[in-house]
Amino acid sequence: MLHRMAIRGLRRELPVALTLSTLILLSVLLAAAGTGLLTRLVGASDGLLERARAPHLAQMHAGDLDPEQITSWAQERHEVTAVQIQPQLLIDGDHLLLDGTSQSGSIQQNSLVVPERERDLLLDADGGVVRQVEAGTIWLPVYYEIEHALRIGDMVTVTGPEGYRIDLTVAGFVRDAIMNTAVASSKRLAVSAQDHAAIAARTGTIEHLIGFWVDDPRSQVPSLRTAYQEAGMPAAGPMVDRTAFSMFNLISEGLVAAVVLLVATAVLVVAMLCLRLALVTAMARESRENGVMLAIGMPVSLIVRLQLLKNAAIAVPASLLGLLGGWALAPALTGRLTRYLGASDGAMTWIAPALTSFGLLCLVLATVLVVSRRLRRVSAVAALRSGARGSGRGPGRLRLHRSPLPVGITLGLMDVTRRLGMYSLLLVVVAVCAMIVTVPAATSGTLRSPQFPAAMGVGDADLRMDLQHTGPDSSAAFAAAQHALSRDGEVLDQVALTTTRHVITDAEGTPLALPVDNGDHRSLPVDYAEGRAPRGSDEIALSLIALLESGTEVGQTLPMEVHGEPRELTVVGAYQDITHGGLTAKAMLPTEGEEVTRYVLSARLEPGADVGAAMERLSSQLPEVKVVEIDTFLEQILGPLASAVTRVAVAATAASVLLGAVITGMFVQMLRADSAGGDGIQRALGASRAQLCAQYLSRISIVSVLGAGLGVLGGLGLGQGVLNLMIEGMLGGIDHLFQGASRIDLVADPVLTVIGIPLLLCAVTATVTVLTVRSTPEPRISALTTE
Amino acid sequence: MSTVLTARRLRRVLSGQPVLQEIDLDVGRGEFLAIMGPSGSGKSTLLYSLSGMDDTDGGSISLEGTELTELEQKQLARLRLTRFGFVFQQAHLLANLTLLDNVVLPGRLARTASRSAVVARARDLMERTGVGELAQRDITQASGGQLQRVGICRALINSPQIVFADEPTGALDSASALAVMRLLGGIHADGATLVLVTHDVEVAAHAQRVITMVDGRIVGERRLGGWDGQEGSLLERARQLRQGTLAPARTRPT
Repeated sequence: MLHRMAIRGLRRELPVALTLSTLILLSVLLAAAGTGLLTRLVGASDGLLERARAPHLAQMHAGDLDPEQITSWAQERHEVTAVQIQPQLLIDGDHLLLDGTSQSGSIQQNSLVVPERERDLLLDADGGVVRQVEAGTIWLPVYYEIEHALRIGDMVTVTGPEGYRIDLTVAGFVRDAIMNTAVASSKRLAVSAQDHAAIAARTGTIEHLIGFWVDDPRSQVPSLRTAYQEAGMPAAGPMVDRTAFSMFNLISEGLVAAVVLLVATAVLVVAMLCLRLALVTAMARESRENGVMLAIGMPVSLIVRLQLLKNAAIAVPASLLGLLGGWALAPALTGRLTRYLGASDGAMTWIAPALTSFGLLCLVLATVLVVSRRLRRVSAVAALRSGARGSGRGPGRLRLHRSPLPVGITLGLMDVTRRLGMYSLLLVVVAVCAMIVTVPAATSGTLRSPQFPAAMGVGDADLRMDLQHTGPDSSAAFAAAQHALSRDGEVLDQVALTTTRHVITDAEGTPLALPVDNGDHRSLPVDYAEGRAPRGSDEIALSLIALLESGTEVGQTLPMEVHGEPRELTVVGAYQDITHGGLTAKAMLPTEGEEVTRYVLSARLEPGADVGAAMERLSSQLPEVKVVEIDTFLEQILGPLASAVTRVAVAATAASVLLGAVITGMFVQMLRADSAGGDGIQRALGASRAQLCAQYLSRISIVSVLGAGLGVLGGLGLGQGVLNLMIEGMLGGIDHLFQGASRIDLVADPVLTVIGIPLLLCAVTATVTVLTVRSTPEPRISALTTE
Repeated sequence: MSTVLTARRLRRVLSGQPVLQEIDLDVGRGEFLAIMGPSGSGKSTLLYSLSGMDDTDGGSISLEGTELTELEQKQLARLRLTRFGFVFQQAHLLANLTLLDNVVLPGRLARTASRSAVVARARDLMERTGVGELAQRDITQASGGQLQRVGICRALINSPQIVFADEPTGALDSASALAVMRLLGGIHADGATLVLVTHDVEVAAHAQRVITMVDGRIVGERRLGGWDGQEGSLLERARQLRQGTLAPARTRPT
């Protein structure tokens, strides 16, 4: 009998049941897909690092070094199980062409390497190790296949002074565990040993990648890092550990997984709210039937079982279908991930989504149980009486006879204010939809806004020139570049910065190498999150990450070695910096005799000057210096991120429109069902269908406007947090999340956020409302009003 | 007496069963017509068809020359709002409105008078029907009889030409029923045409003409003439109706 009653109940509320079923299916599908994606991502990233035997700690060093010094030092360290020094031939972008395209404008630092055979391996598309490269060929990082559409058989050309040129045919693409993703600005290109030697004799700059392997990375890497820095070992470059490698992979490819899971959570929240509303509404509508059942002696537990049975009939098939869909969808979402990191098809990629689906199913049924327990608090008589009166409460505070507004709007407003709790579901849904759209849209807009460079530590310049210090020639080239800029009639002003390496002590007392940009920071200033630029040689400004790492605050002093002597510099400012891993400082220290690592020149051109032409001109005058337009510089650092966020914004808009439409349709159907009696009375009195439709429209529109407004505000607040989290993770890894290492203000397009997004959502909900009201067949008026 | 509402060969089928079979009926302007019959005779269905609230499956219904069966839903709704008033057995007031707002609602929907005029008329009607002090209460704060009187006020807010009443005293005690019938009598006395469905002989005895329906057909008709308002004559009229001394159905007013 219970089964028959459940089936009859489902048939009676078929539209609501179908909508609930769709919601549950969607949320399970997304959650399962997101879980599967995340499992694959973590598995793939860890798998790649393991298969490639990536170093636990890696130190880049620009310039020559004594391998014996490093090897001896490593042998004295008990925790080091292996050390490897890989020479890398850094090829300037001006001397590198990929399929005929010059890399002079690229910020990617491309180095030619001979593949290692034992550790720090390069893997091909099938996961095999690339141990040897044929002469005359080259293996490119998979980044160039994915982002630049290069193919096997394309040509890579390296040029050099005196017309030197060598062409190498692309023989394949490699996955480089430590420089794989678009976020990493260094790339390794694998060539044969003989080609490497031949090219090194004619062009390029030698750098080294020093890799260390330990027994227990978690406990031994921090101490190894400290010991290496204290020992004064070659360190003209960043030092990165395996956690950071993993984080780069996760941030790059985890964005999609994060968005999918975020949407899944939003859909789930909505599904739970809808389920609760449907249950409460059904219970109110069925209170007379429940009263009769209670009166004839049916135990409450049986009625609760009936509700469980009805909703299980909806939830179980929906969850199963959602799980199947999630299993099917996860591989489709991991295409790009698989190309970068390789496949990960372990058992957990199937089990984790199944567990997620089961968990969600239990949550749905638990919700039914909790809501159905209300029945225990109601007597049979009370249920019968409340059924006679109908659902809903009495009149609210507003009065029809006092309202100057049209009847439809007045009745809509009255209903919303009277039953705010019920309408809160739609309010929350519209707000969530608005947030889902606002966060990526505002983030994308901020990344692309003209104000962003200054907020990211890149001054208001048109051109930027970077020059690594590799010897006396470098300082001469730097001087020549400054001279060229001062002679150039289109250059309005320039800032020359010399980066020197100094040792400070971090918050845990560990020595830390801090790159300090020295020069006059008053021209082409950046935005300071706190304080100002240094004005004298006893002042210093730190990047936000450097501030965190050093454990100081603006206004305090920072002990630092200058010319080998300890000095106390006053920290006068803190700023955001995306260059060089975000760990930088600005000062006006004398650089003679200091360890110089690089030179940076920034130039601002006269208004109206052709930036591209100026770049070409200066590049030809200064072959040793990499000259790029600032826009290109930023595009290549942030471009992949901005593009990904823009794609997410488009997908999020589509998802939220769909979600808003589905929920509004379901909500209006429930509203119609709940208001059928009242609508029948109004129709009997002579209200037209258009007048009734106007009442529904006003209800939904009022809630939509409120919800969209709240959602946009919430999205702007949340978007700021998300943007800064993304930047924190990109720069400093997990350790710097939620530490205030990024303090960028969201720059939202007012037309889009204040008008566009709310208008879109309100248009969607209004359209769905009208369509739903019109499509719902109207029962005979007499049937609604006769006894 | 001129005719205001005419039905010819009216048919209605519900769930495959004929509920109205070839009904011919004329309702005179200013007439008080009662429709009686046992349960399932089709009397309420006839009322809903005449008032445009239900479809028909054949025949015609004419309101002063306008064929109702050819009107669109929107036009029928306008008709119900401006020219008809309807009193239900259960008052069917909206729980989300105060009693005053329930009366005001059709007036504001019609948009034939200003808001202040509609509200003033509503208050006046409620005062005259003895429920003026209940204006700001909701439906749970009034008795059945009081709710029915509010329902009557609502039916009259747009000064309808014809008032249809479906078992208006069916859910009331005798005292409340009497009060409601006095009200309806007053409405008729003011010039409205009143078509009322009832199974109660004493209620039907208030009418000028009573028709009886059985199995979807009009089987009898009794002309009682105007009631003088005396209880004694009401009882006599009721006795006559109970005796079944009905003339064959003619269905036309005199």
